[in-house]
Amino acid sequence: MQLARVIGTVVATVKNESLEGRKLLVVQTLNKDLEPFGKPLVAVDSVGAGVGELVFWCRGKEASFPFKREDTPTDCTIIGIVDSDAHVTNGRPTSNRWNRTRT
Amino acid sequence: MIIARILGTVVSTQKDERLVGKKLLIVRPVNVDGSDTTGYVVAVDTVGAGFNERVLVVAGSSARLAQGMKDAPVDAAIVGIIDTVDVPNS
Repeated sequence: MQLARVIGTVVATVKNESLEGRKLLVVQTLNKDLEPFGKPLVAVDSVGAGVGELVFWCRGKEASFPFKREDTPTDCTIIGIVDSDAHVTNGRPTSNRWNRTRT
Repeated sequence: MIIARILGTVVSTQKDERLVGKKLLIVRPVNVDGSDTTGYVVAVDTVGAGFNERVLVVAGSSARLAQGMKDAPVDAAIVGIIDTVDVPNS
């Protein structure tokens, strides 16, 4: 899974039947400092994301799991919306369990 | 999924039997502004796309999930014909 910014939309009238009704968005993958890297991709939306939002997406066969997994041909799906850029802590101490001191 | 443009066709008589009846097309990935990149992919068409059209190409094992592709030895499938790509501020 990687972070990405939604930068645009795609309209495709003629598409594989199993993709009908799905929203397609253009996403730009971001590095841990939230700077763009790599080429933009087209992702299927499963959470109701919009242009400008910070999201995370899933690649590979698992990208079809939010939908009918046996017949949704997608290799890139938006599976979550990040609450805000400030919620990406990137190395700063947080209260989550990964940063707790082990005793 | 990537955006690609159809460059040409591939004709193959001797192929895996699960690919019989499938149209094979050569596609080149393009940028969101429509400009070409380098390289190409041979992809199976599932939507009836034609020469020079911009299409959506799904890669990897997900390509098998497209309709009519069940258990076919395929790692790239054309699953949509693009009408418009709208990227504000690009």
